[in-house]
Amino acid sequence: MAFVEFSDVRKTYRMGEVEVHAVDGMSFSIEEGELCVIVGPSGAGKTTVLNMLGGMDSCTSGTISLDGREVSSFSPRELTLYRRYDVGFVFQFYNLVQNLTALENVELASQIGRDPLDPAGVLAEVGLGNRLDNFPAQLSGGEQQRVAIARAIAKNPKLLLCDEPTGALDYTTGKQVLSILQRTCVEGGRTVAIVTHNQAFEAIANRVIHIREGRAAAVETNSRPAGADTLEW
Amino acid sequence: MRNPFGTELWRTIAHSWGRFLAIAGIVALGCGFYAGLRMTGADMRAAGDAFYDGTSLYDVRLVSTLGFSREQADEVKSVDGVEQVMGDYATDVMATLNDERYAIRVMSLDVGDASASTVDATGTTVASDDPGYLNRLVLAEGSWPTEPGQCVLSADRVMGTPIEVGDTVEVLYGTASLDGVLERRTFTVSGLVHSSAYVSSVALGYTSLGSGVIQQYMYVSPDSFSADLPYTELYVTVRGASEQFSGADGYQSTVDVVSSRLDDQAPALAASRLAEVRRKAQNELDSKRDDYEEQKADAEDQLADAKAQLDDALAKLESSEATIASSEEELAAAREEAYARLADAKDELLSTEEALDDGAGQLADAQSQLDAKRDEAEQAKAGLEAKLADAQRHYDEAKPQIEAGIAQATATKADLGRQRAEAQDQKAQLEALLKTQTEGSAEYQATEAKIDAVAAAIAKLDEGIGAAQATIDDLAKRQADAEGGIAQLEGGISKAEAGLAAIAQGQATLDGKSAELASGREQLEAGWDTYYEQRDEAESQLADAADQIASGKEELASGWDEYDSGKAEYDSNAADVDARLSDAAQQLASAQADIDAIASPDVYVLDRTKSTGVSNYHDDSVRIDNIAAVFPFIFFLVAALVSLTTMTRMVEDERVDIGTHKALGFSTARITAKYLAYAAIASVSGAVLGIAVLSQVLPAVVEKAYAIIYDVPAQAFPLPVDPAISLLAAGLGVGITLGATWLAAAATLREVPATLMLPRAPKAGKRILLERLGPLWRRTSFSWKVTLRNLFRYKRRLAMTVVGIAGCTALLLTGLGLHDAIWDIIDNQFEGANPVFRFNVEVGTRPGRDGRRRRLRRGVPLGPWLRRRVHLGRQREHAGLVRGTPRHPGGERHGAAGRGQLRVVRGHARPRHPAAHRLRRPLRGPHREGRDAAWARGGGHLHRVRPGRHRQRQGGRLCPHPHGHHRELRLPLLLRGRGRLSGGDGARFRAARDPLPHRLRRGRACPALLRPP
Repeated sequence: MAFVEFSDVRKTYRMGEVEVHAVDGMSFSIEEGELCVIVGPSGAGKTTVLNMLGGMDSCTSGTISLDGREVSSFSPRELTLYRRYDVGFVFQFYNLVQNLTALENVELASQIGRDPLDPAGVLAEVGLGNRLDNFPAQLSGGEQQRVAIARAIAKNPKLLLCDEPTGALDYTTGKQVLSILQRTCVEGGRTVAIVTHNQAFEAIANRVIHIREGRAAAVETNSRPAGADTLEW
Repeated sequence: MRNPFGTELWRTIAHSWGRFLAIAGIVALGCGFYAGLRMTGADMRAAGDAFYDGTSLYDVRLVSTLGFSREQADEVKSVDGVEQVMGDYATDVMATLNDERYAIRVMSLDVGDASASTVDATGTTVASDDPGYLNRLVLAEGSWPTEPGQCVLSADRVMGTPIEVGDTVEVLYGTASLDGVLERRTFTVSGLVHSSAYVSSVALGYTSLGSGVIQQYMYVSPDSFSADLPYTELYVTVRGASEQFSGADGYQSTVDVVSSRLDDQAPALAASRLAEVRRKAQNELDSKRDDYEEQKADAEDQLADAKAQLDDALAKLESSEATIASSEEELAAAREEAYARLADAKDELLSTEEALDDGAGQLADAQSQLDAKRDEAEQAKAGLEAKLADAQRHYDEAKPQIEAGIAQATATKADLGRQRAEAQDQKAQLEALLKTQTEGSAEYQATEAKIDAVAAAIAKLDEGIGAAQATIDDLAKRQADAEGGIAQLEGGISKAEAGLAAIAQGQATLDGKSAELASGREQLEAGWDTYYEQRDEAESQLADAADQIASGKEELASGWDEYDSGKAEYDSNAADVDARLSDAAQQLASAQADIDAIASPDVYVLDRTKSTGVSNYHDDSVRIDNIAAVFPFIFFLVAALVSLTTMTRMVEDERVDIGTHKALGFSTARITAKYLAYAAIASVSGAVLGIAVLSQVLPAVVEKAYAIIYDVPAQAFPLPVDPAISLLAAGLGVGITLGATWLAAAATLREVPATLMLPRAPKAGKRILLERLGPLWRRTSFSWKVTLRNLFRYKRRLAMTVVGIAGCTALLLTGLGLHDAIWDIIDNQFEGANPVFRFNVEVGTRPGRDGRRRRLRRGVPLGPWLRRRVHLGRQREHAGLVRGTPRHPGGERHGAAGRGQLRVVRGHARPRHPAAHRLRRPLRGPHREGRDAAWARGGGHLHRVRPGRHRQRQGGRLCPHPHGHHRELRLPLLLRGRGRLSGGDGARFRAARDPLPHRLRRGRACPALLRPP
């Protein structure tokens, strides 16, 4: 049993008469400690897959399991706990709480985590040791994303999910973020899943899942991924 | 670890003040109003209670139709639960004060206690050493009545003219005769007070005088009341009642217990009072009856004495009468006898005299006869002798004549005889001729005629012959006569002589007789003398006797008079006494009947709920409670709506954040808690602030408003805040807000994080109903289509807008409508087509120095006296109204009239065209108003008041005031700045008025207005 198991997962959105099959029979698996990159064109269902994996959305049919637990059948309460303890999410648009400083944002996450990491330490890890008391509005995009990552990591989750983390960042900052993520995976031993449409990221991944039209078109593994800082795009 | 969640909360608050304050504000208002209003009623009652307790206001008041005596006051005091009892005297009177008449309740005041009492700063508590001094008064101005004849009046009651210390109150009359009640009729105001027994300054109670309402109260010292007046009422305080809140159930039940005991006691009180009154009255009656009896006995004795005396007198008189009667009889008898004898004697004498007189008479007669005869005879003789001489003479004279005559006549006769014979022959000739003639012929007739003529001549001759014969005879006779006469005469003379001789004889007889007569007369004279003597004697004796009797009679008469007068006196006295005694007896009887009829008095046990002031105040406070029960919920509704929208907006704004939090693993509860906390903090702080502020402000404002008519001193700040109400209000406010917040958040939080983090899908567009009406829809413009679609798309918004606007409009309309409605009353009263008051100025007179009022003249031009715009006199104007009814000439029925002041009242038909006055031309129609119309009509002459026409013109609505016989003049609407008085206009109007000429304002008499005295 793989760490993360997707088996024939479907997600259909019904809006009035229209049905949209965002995910249409997705099946793949991810091993523990892997850095998995999920690539695909826009509208392929990548974000939907991540949302479902992160417990932020439900699937219409199929099973999703994490570490043996069937996430797709969780009750909302169980999902909340799942999100709290087992998953760390990094969003494309950071989604930091504007009213809280960087440190507080991270504390927000660490406050509810089970066995959380020290927020200041995590922030230092991501290189924002001296920007603890700045509000997100006072941080640049990259810094905000790093805070978001720190927030996600501070919870000490099993699974770190990143939805287009570099989408709003430039090349350099993007590489920075990726390297942090890679470091987390490698040094922290966390399973990291990155959703992106940028195929250059495949190089740093242990596993690459190609998603096309709501299905996993191809899955590749790579036992020796490259370092994030070597990426060029 | 610090609490970032908490931090986030505070930061949210800090970064959205508007929202926070909006919620806090609306909750503050809602809770504050609710709590404030709820507390207002309680605060008012508390203030009232503080005042009542501070002034030892009575709890129970006992009134009896026969009053109470001191013993009964003590009886009442001994009732279980009664703490203090105070009796006082009270009466309602009609009195004049500042030339105005008021119905005043006069009450007694223990001046000593009042003067010795002290008042605290707020005027709530009056401390006194005497616990029995109830209904303590608070002195507002002036001083307590120290001298008899001083009084204190209410400081709060609004009078026509403000009362000053030193004014005089003249009592006119009361509900019954005041003589046994009030000793004085004139009082001087020495001060003004507040009384807790009369907290309402507009409703002091009811009476049977005047208009039925008591208009003022007056406290005087007890010695102004009659000395033996019983207490009119007893004021009672109940033990333990002051600890309770006046008007509350606890208070009422405490007082009810004692009230019911007093009620039970009431019949006994009534009976004892009745017995007392009866006893007193009966005692008086009995003493009076004793008096009566005494006097009656006395009188009867006197009368009896008098009667005895009278009877004695009567007896005596009667016996005297009898004596006199008998004497009289005797006298009468004696008199009769005497008279009889005298009469006899007299008769005799008289008869003798008669006889003598007869004799004398006869004698005289005879004498006179004789004399007469003698005279006669002598005369006759003389006459005869004369005649004889005469006759002789004549004879001698006549004889020759006669003889001559005879001769002549004889000659004539012979002559005539011869003629006759001739004639006769002629005639015979003629007759023979006639026989030869034919009858009827002319010859015949001529012959006849000749015959006739001859016959006639014959006749004449015959006559002549006759005459001559006659003459002869005559003469012969004369001669014979004369001779005869002479012879007669001679014979007569000898007879006469014989007669004379007889007479002389007779004379001798008569002389003898007269000598007899003379002697007889002498005897008679003697007899008369004796008679007279005797008669005189008898007369004198009789007269003596009669005198005696007369004097006796006089005495008797006077005795009778005395007796009569005495009897009359006695009778009248007796009658008098009878009358008076019977009168008195009747009075006694009726008094007894009255006493018997004295009904058992009605004893009324009244508690504070029957006191006009206290109960009105309490009712008003309950009214506030009623308002508070409903009105603030509008605010709560608004608070709920505002919180709902605000929090919905907030949740919407933070949708992504919520999603993030959810993604981070925060539970729904936790995330909702943030908003709830936000709302809670806002609403709690708002509630606290609102309650804190409005629980002080609202009751103060309301109490201040009520202070216009209530005399309860305001409570000191801070006003008590009722924790229960505050909690309830706060709870409601906060609860509503939290509820709304929860509603707003719940929907959002139900969604999965994924959708949360996506922007909310716009609400699906839908076709609206209107679109199905094809033709209509096609005709609407695009903007309109969009607007209509939007309207129905956001139904909540639509609902809120509509409800909000509707509510606001309703509130506005209520306010404006109230305003209009009330102002309409004013307009209808004073203006409009058919106003009730139809004049501007009322001019009245007051009595001049001679005490009489002069009457006003009509049709007097007022041009120089009045300007176009009217000015108020001394009366206070109240939004265009002037106090007092413009009605009666004497001005007695209403407050300020009779002062001769010019009072201006609104009222008359308004111009047809509201802006007519601006047109500067007179209007058509019976009411020619407008600025110059009045003057245009004739130099400002007054509109004559014609009774009938007014009624007609009013078209059915009769002016309640009769016109025509007034002493006041009603003037037309001379003008005004605007046609219609309304609030704003009224203000402008007031400002626009010109003052009346000084003279008029002072109310000095306008001589032109007055008729000559």
